[in-house]
Amino acid sequence: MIGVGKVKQYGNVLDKPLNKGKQEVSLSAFAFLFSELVQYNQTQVDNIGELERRLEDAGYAVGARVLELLCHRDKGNRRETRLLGILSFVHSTVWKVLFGKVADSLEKGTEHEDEYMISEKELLVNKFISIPKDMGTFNCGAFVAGIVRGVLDGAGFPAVVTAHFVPMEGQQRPRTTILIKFAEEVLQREARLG
Amino acid sequence: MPRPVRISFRALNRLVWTAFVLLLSNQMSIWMLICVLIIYCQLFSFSVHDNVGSGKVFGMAAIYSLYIINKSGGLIYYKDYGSAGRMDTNDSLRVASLWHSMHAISQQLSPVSGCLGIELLQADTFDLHCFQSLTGTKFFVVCEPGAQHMENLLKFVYELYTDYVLKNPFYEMEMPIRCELFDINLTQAVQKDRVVFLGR
Repeated sequence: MIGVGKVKQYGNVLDKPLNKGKQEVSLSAFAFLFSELVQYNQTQVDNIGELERRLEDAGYAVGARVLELLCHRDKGNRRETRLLGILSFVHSTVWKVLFGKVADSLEKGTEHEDEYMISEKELLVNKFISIPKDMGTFNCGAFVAGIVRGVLDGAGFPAVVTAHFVPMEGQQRPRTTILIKFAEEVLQREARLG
Repeated sequence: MPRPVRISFRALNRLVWTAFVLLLSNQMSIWMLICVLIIYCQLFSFSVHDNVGSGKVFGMAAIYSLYIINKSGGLIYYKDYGSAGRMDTNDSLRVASLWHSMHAISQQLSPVSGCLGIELLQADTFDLHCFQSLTGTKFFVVCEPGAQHMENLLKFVYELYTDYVLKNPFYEMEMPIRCELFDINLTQAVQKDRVVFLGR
C-alpha cells in the first residue's frame, strides 16, 4: 500500500486522533430534520406562541453548546466579555460555523439603546419554509433566535431574542431579523466598564 | 380568437381500438373495456378552449396549464398559463382524475412489460407531457403541439416540489399545495428563457 510506512501506529484506539471529517452536512438532510422538529412540536402545542417558545428552547440548547465549543476551539478557552465583542462573535464566528457564512448585517436599534438586530436576507432554516396565511407572523427563525439567546446567556449577557419577518422594498420575500433586547444589568455593567 | 373545440384524441382513439383488439384476442376483461369506454365518453363530454398562441403574448413558453396529482388521483396543484381557455375548478379536477385512470389503464394495456404509463399524448391542438415520480405523484403539463424540453421542465417542477413542498413542515402530504415559495420558484421556471436554459 502506498504511504503505509508514514501512518503512525497507535497501540490504543483511544490514542488515535479523530479525523477531521467533513465540516458540512447535507442541506436536504438538515431541512427534513428541521421540518420534523417543527412538525413534532406542532403536535405538542395548541397555540403559535407556544410553538415559537418550544422552537426557541430547542435552539437554546444548541446555542449553549456552540458557545462552549467555539470558545474552546477558536478563542483558547476565553470568551468575550464586552457587549460589542460578543455581538460580533455571534454575527461572524457563530454564524460562520452554523450557516457557512457571516450574517448579512448587525445593527443597533434606533429607538432603544438596549436593542440590536442581526438580519439575514434568507435564513438557512427558512430556505424551504412557506408560512401559511393563518399562522400570521410566526417565523421558524425562532429556532435561530433560541441559538443566539443560548450563546448570549451562556456568555453572561442575558437577553430576550425574537425573530421577525421584515418586508423589504423591491423584494418578493421579507428578510428575517433577529431582535436582541439585552437585560438591564448587562447595560449597567457595560456602562461601568466604560 | 379562442374558439371552443372538442378534444380530438388520436392517441385515445388508438387506445380504444387496442382495447377492442385485446378483447377480441381474450387478453382483456370486458370490464376494462367498459372503463376505457366510460373515460372515452367522459373526455368527449366537456370541451376545452383552444388557446393556441395565447401563451406567446406573455413571453411564456407555450405552456397552457400545469397539474400535479397525488397518488390516489386527487388534484393537488393546478396552474393556468394561457389567458384564454381557463378551466373552472370542477373541470380541472375532472381532467386530473381522468388522467389518473387513463394512466393506470395504459400501464396495463401496454404491450411492453414494465410500462410506466403514458408519457406523451399528442392531440391536434395540444400535447400533454406526463412525468410520474417513484412515489406515484404525477406531474403533467398541457402545452402547444411540438413544444420542446417539457421533460426537463417536469423534472425541474418535481425538484421544486421536493424542495419547497416536501421540506415545508406546514404541508400535509397528499393535500393541495399552498406554498408561497413553490409558487414563486415555479413562475420563474416556467418563463421561456428558463425552459430553454433547462433544455441545454
